[in-house]
Amino acid sequence: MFNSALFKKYQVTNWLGSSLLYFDELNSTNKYAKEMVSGQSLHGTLILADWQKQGRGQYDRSWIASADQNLTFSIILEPNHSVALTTLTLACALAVADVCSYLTRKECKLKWPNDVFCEGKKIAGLLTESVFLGSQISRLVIGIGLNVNETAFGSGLKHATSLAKLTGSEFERERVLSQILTKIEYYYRLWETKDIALIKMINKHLIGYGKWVHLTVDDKPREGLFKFLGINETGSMMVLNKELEVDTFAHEQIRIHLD
Amino acid sequence: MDLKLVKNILDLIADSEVNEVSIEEGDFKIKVKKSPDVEQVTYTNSAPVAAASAPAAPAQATAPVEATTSESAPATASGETVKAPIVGTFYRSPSPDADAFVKEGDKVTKGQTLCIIEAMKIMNEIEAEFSGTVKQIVVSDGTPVEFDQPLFIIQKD
Repeated sequence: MFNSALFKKYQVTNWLGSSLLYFDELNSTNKYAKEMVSGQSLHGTLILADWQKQGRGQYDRSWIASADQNLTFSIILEPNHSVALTTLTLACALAVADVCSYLTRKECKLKWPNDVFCEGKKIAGLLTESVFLGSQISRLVIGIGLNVNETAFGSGLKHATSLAKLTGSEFERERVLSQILTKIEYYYRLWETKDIALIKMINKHLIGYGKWVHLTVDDKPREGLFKFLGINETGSMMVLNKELEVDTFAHEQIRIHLD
Repeated sequence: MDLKLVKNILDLIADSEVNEVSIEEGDFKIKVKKSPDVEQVTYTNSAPVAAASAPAAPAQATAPVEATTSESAPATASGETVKAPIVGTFYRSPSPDADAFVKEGDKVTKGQTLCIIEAMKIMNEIEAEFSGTVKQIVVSDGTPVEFDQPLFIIQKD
């Protein structure tokens, strides 16, 4: 079971995770975070479940996380702007990748737009959801699932890995969480102040960055090769086409295929 | 639509100090916005138009065009307009087989979810800022929407 008291001992953040809601089991931490009602600000609130019954990927694609093995949590943010929300997801993914790289001594990279990979396998996934009241963003929820001590992945999860699988040793989830939150807090500040350094750091860690790749746009393969230029300051994804012009994508479903 | 004309407009703007321009003539409408290194072109036109980067990118001629044409009906009902706060794909229901969040004629209360705009795997729920009656749903399900594009007309209570 996740030890909240131990987590508090490790916690060094200023605001993120100061308010922690722990659940033995919950249908979805994102759903809970989105629906939470409060008269005061929930900025920085962390919702953590030892067992997420309906952990969701994109399009409600379910995935099952074993109890007590991994980290599945959501953070609530109340940002002062809504420019480049995709960048913020990637900033949180970068925070996870940094900690994973540090703990495993292996290179962990970002798979655009919302996964973390190590040695060609997925170790973490993120799901961002937002709520706008009219034109103003009122709440942003970032759900993060990180495989920590899970080592027995089912046949459907051949491309999954975990910190334990990569290193052969178990990790204290409370300490891992604290390390991730510290990084997120730092990157969040860069995002909020629209610091261009964040874009550079993200791009440097993106799988395929600077390489010629194949693209699928809205389920339709595009002909030819494109050089993946990462994201720009608005969070749009950029590629260079064969005519050496920059194509930007702001909302399409894009898949990047490396050869 | 004359692609040469579009190219001329783009060249003209590229050489000028103007950052954003909208030109409207009959049912032809073009909006060009300049940002560092990148020119974003958005078309709204009742007739199908070529892909946004078509003037100089023949390789993309086979690409479908729906991403750049807007399928919005004109906003005719009276009331407050709810506009898209971000760029993305407009969805009227939480999942393909679920009921729509709201229908025309429905009463909505402040904070009630009206639609989802999905962009780059981020699901953005748009809630009503005020209570009222949905007079018109301007955009059809599954269509791409631009920033500030009208989505709903809601008559305030």
